[in-house]
Amino acid sequence: MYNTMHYFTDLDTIVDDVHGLFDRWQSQYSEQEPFSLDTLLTAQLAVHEWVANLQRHARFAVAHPRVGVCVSPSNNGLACVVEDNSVGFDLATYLADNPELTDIMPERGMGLHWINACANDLRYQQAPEGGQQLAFFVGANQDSCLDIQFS
Amino acid sequence: MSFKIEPHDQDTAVVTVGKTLDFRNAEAFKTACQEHVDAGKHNFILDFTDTGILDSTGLGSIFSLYRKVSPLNGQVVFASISRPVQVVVQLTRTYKVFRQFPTVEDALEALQQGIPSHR
Repeated sequence: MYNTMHYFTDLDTIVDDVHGLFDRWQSQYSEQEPFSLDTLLTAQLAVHEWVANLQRHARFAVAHPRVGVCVSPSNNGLACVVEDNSVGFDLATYLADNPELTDIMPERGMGLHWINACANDLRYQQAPEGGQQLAFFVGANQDSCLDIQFS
Repeated sequence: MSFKIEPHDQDTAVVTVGKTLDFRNAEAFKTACQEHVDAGKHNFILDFTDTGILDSTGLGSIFSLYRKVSPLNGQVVFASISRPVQVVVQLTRTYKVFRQFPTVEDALEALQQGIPSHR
């Protein structure tokens, strides 16, 4: 089930469908894996934030929206890819214009910052067969941290 | 809706968060909590047993609740934190703001003893 792109086409249920996929990976997880369960949960968190973003904000100019999720273990973590056939989004400009969370205990607008905090080598690019691709790596022993102001 | 809020005493409500607190039910969570604040509750225990999803919007709704009860000397505390929620707590360092307890009963005892929220 790892190293395989899993596709989802129902945007109404996609969040639950993606979590169903991660639940199956969790149920199959063993200590022999080259990554910790927390690494998998961190990847799941980042994928959730991106898929939620797609469901709420993405524009699909095609008749059949499609989102694919692939997780590939390596010796030191998990490589994650989320592909979609939406029209795309300027993630780099957004993160450059909003480099950090400035509000105290923000009630919204944290999602992309969560992804950025969870992910190493975050890339948003054209997918090999068209459409968009979000790719990132979650290290096996990384201590992800998002700087939120509490006062 | 997933979550359930039950009054415990005149000051305290216990929120069984359920499987999910995310962008899909965060507004309903805020509205429901406001009703209990309006009814006089200023301490909220969030029971995260079996919670599989706490996303950024869900956490934002918890921040909103905190804003409402803090001026009333109230507290928002976490109990029975599931592993996915612990990942969120570590990522966001919200243990600096929300005390954590192994069980709802431990949280109730701490609130009844008047233990302050900040270390």
